[in-house]
Amino acid sequence: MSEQNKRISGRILEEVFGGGRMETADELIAADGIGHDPALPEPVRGPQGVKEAAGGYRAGFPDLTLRVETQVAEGDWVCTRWTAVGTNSGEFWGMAPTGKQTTVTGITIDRIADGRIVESWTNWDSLGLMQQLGIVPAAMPA
Amino acid sequence: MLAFPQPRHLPCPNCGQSVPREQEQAHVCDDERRLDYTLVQLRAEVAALDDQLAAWLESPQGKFAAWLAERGRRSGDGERGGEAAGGAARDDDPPPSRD
Repeated sequence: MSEQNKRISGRILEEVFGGGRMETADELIAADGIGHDPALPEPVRGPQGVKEAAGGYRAGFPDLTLRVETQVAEGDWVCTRWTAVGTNSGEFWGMAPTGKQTTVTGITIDRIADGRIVESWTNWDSLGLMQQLGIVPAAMPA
Repeated sequence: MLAFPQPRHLPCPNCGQSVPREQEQAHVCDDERRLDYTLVQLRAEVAALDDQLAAWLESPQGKFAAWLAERGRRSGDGERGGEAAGGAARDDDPPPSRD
């Protein structure tokens, strides 16, 4: 069960967010599933919400890939640490593309029931992304 | 004392590739990536080129340059703008007006 749940969590990250294969969201996200990402203005609801969230990230970073680094599973819960790499060649957060390639890390905790993700919490290095895009200084001015 | 957070990766300023901070000095840009990145930075200028070229071609200098190039093409000597090798230049059309 733990290994199956790990695979479910990993597939959403690698296939949907990291590969643009949106149909995987229909397969693995509960219809009433809810996702929490502080970088997004509202909770992500259901498979369609996941597709829109992933679509937004991939619009800004069309070559986005996600690599699962570590997973821990217990009961219905899976914790996944991941690394995302992508080139900002599309508009993102209202900004014109910079052409810069960025690398950020994050952690996602999923609760899984009946083979689908019913709730998810993601925290990722949005400050690091803004620093790499040049929006925020990478070093504190003296 | 906590320091201001620093990203572990930064994009190379020349090619945009994400490079771990500890590998900054050793990084060598891929030429094609550097070219693509440069084009992204210059995209506004590239997009403006067509409009600027069209405007210049409408100017007296642009019209003359176009006329000269066409005359050279017809005479088969594009580089010298119409002077045929060893002979007088052909001049089938009058030069463009100054308007």
